[in-house]
Amino acid sequence: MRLIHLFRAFLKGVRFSSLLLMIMMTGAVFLGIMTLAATNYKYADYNMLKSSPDDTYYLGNLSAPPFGIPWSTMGESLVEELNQLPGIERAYTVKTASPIMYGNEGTVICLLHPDILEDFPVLKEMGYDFDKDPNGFVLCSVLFDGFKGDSVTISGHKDKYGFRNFDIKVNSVVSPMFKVITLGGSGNARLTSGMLLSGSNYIIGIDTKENEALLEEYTSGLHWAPNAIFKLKKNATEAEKEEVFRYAETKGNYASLAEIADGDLKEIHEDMRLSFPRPLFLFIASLAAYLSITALVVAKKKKELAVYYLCGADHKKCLTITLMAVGLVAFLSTVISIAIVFVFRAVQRADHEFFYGYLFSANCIWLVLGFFVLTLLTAFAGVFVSIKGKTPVQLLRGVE
Amino acid sequence: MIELKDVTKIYKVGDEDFRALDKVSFKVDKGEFISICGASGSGKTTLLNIIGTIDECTEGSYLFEGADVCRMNDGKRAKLRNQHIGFVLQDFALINNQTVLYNVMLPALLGKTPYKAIKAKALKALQSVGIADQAQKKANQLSGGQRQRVAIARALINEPGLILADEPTGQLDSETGKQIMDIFKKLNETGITVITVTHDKAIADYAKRLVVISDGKIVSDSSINKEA
Repeated sequence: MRLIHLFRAFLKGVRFSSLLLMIMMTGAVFLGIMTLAATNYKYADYNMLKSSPDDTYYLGNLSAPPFGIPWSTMGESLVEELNQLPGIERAYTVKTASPIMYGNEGTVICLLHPDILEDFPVLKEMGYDFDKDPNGFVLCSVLFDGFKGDSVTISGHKDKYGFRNFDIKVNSVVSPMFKVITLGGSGNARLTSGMLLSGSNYIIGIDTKENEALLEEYTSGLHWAPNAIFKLKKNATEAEKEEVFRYAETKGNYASLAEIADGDLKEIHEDMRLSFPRPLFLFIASLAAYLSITALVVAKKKKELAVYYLCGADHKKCLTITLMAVGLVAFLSTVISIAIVFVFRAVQRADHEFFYGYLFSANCIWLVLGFFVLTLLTAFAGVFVSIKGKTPVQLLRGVE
Repeated sequence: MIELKDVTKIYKVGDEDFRALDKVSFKVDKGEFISICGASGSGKTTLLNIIGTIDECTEGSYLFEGADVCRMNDGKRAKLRNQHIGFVLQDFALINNQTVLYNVMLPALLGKTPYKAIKAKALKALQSVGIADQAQKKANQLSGGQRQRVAIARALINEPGLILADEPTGQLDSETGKQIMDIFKKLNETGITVITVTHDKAIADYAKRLVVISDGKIVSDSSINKEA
């Protein structure tokens, strides 16, 4: 308590500069956090895609203009044709239709081939898990944030004019944070990037007989896109690959998942090159400012410390008070910065639309703590150098 | 109370040694009022600093109430300084941007007395030097005489047995200087040992004993005959 009184009094005269420094340091750390969080996001996104098998492609079938084909005529022709090509190891159906209505919001429904989840772990990583019930669905949308329950009522076109409500079983709710294969391209997505989005509204299920029967009954008025994911044979010749790509081009747009992942990595490097110098500059600037303020505090307070010494403070107490004063600035800015990380994380968890493109993972906290330790160590070293070696008389000589 | 035996203090000045004190032996009994006189650079302030434990001797021994100060670490010397010694310096050594009250409370804040008791003691000390009404003013708002009274009040707050005053009237006019010395005299009458360093004969005459120092050596140590 007495030490607090001494410390409070000691801060007098350097409060304004300390406050300014604290704001500057917090700003630098904040910018650092945001840059790191943006890189975290891209890196996590890249890691997701990177885990896709090699030579894997997504094909959005746009062959049935303008909005896909009726369920009754869809069949399995695209996958069957792909499987017959000599360069293809395996092709999987990804049947997609829209709009399915949930309240007043439109969403897309998608049926995946049962084997796709085993062969594409990336999908499981995204949360597409059907272990609970193969006939259940995964609600993959911010629309369903906070949804709890075993079933949900949605509506689809039974015929050309009318909507019909029906219930589907719910396995889980996933809010996709990352750029995920949202399995789009239901006839009107003309760009491959449309296949890799985030934040779109999707209801994902497995292409089981029960689900087919249900959707046939309630969505027969919708146009379906028989999309596909296909994997090339490892030993496929160039000619065989050429044949596959030529076929894919006739059916729609296709994209290599590996190439998209590589593109992500390049984007990360480019982003780091462009965005890191700014927080780095601020870090260095605030570190320099911190050292200057520390030097100022020590210089300004040296005489005061001499008085403390005269009145019966030992070197240790003089050092403690000085270190508390210089440490407080770094400590407060650290607490504020950590609080920012936690608040942003909480906000992001509550609503993924907020801070889209950022990921506030543990390394953001480590960044803040690292900066805190670095600044403290540097400042403490400065304080030690300027006070520790001095005899009381040398300190007293500074007294007016 | 105090016993210095063959105390030597050597400072390094460039490559050479400067002998500020040379085998000084000096004894002070409780309740004495001593003036240490000497020319500038004679070593009187160095002697006071060693007695006050803010400087260490290079050779010799220093006993404070029987305890060997030379063997004490920084913490123990600080505690001794805090509990048993009060300082009054020529330039006041106050924290100018703090209140008078805080300046007086400072030595006690470094000890273990509860805060409320410290405040009460500080006000009492200010009252004893006649400036209790200035308690909330900043130190730099006071006159030289008032500042020196604050320094005396600060020296008194922990009720020390020894007060060391280094040229306490050096920055004051003669009338104010007299008033300050009267305070020291009254304090001495209550049993507090007072040692002042001065080169002013009139100030030295307030003491009961005069120690003259020259070139780091005590050249004379005698009682002052007040009736003479």
